[in-house]
Amino acid sequence: MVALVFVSMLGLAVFHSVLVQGQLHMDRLDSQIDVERQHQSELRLTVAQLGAPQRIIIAAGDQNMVPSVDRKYLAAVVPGSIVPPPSPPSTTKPPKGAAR
Amino acid sequence: MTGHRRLGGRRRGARAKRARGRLAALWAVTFIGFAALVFRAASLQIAPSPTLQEANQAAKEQRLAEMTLQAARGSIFDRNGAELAISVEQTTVVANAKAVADPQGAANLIAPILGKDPAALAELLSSGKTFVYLARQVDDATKAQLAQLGKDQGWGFLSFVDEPKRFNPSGNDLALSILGRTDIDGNGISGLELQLQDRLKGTDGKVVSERGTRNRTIPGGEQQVTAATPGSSFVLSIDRGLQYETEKILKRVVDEQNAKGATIIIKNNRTGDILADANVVREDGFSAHESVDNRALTWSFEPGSINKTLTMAGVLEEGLATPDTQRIISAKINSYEMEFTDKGRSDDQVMTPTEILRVSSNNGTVTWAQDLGKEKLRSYFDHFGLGKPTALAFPGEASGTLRPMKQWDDVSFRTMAYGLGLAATPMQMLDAYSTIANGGVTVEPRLVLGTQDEEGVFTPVAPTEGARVVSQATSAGLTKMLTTVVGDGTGKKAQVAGYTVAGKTGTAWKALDTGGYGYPGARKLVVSFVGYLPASDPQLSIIVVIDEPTDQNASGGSTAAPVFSEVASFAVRQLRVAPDADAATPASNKDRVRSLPQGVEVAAPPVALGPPAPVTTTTAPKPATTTTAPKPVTTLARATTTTVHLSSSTSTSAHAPVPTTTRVVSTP
Repeated sequence: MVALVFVSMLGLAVFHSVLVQGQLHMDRLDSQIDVERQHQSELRLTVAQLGAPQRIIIAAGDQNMVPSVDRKYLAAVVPGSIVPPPSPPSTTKPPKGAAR
Repeated sequence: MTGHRRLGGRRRGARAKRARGRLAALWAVTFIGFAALVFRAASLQIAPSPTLQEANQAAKEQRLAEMTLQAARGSIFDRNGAELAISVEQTTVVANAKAVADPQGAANLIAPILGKDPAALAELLSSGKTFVYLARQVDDATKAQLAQLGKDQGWGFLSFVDEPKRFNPSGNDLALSILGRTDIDGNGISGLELQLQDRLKGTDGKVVSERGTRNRTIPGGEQQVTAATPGSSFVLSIDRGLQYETEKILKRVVDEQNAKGATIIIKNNRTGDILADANVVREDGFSAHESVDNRALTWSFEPGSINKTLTMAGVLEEGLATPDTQRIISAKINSYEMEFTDKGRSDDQVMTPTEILRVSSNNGTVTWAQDLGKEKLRSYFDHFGLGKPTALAFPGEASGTLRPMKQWDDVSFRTMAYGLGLAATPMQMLDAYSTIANGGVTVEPRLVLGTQDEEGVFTPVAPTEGARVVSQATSAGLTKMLTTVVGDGTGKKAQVAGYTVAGKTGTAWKALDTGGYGYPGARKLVVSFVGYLPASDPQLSIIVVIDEPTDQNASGGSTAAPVFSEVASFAVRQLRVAPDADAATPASNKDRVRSLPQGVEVAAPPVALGPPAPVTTTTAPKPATTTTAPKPVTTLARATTTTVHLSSSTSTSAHAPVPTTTRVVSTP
């Protein structure tokens, strides 16, 4: 009887310590999830900022890239149709009002 | 001997018996003791006394901690999934001022890190309050510096709280007038952030749990979790790249023109998607910058000559004329005490409706409007969407001004025909042209394409059905007329290489706050151009409105049309709109159009922007039908006491300035 009570009490203590350990682990996981989630949103913000048009233009400028001054168009024709003769050769002078 | 043995045995038996008795008694006492304890424990648990109940409750409340789970505010994306507005957790620095021993000393150390005034910080730290904000939503580097400082100084009064902060990662001011702003607590205060506030903000959750020392959860203790519901994310119709380029062009133009502001809207004719909505303003002495106010929707102006197209739409739809009907247009038209003239024309002239639009003749428009009549003219304006807010229901959206029929007198009726005496927002005027471009069927504008959940699943917003305003034939006729405006009329500078453009110029004087329009040389103007392309298969409608360019010679044709050309050139490339096969390439740009080698077959069809919008044909807004043939030249009594000179491109008023929704009352 005494042994039974002792074992029961010991089991209860073990169970409680396991419970406490589990709870601590869960608390740690919760806070880690928060940290990782925040890190993820910060990375998302960084990626979005890197893709911003203004930043790309600056980065391109740093690479000595410049906007095109000349544009080429292809004639839009129905598939299967015969394309008309080519137009005169293009010049290098940009058109007035051309997009930058 | 035997007797002794018997006696000894009896004694041992008695001792054993007594021992058993004592043991039994001990067991009994122990059992009773345990039973009493169990009973007491059970009675305390099951039916505690009121005092104990109160104590229990107080202890539990001390252990229970409630923590709000802040719902993540939804994001806003452009049509291609690029983030325009997102919320990211930042750190807010708080202090327990009661625990600060040396407020001034602490303030002196903290102030340089936060970039704040030490005196202001010292005042906060001396307040004696247990919770004061020192700085909200600081970045991680600042937090780390402060944490280190607190550790070094052994401060216990500093703590950090996570708070979401709204970012516009594509550029702080990109699409500012559309997106709007949030306050520091993350609540929308303008633009779509305000309009969609209820759905963006989500619902906060909470965790209630029993916590012990060091704020640790008590195992097996009470714990209730109500999960937060994140706000919906929205996908807009805006194209980020196009929006950026449009704003860039607009800022440059406003600076060049020293204008007060300008607006450009680009709309997909088929779906109603607003692809770009740029609003720029400039204060004297400063460079142009993006406007917080979405003037495309909240500001109205007298549209002037761009309204002539709507008048002509009624004329064609009613069968009063065709684009090629010839008619003598008087050099002077007298109406009561007013005399209307076309600048630069002193003789009567035979003109077709096409010619009237091409040279932007006020008298020609007035002549045909007289045949159309007040009621029908107003009805067409109404059905084109003037005088009422658009389907966008944008915060602060203006209705424009379209006076009730009873306020239309014989003079204002004529001026309204060419865009004076009424006011419209840039969006309303664009919608009207978009209707013409769409075969006479309205295409409601839309800024929100749909919502996107956390898994990225997109739920589109159902498109609204359009209503027919004018017939397909009328629409085609108007397109033909407007094409001549750009081909060889007042809008030549709106030409786009490789594309046919249909459009109309507008130049207006703005009414002064004191009334009237001022004297020559000191007048304020609003110049505009609205059109669509490719004219053979209109996919994009674009309006350019420039408010108060300082050049007195500015006009829709010379100032707004080139901006249209520049923006449209970029837009068709960005959106991959195929050039139309019959493109009337501008002479100066012909050599820039390169064809494929002769004989080459094209494998893929041109890219289209989307399917045509659904059409409802049950809501034909056609006014009472008349079969009146076009009237001959109108002869009016000459009782002129006031002469109002009307140029063909600049309209002035023979009427009181129309009240607009802002202080700015514009006219042409």
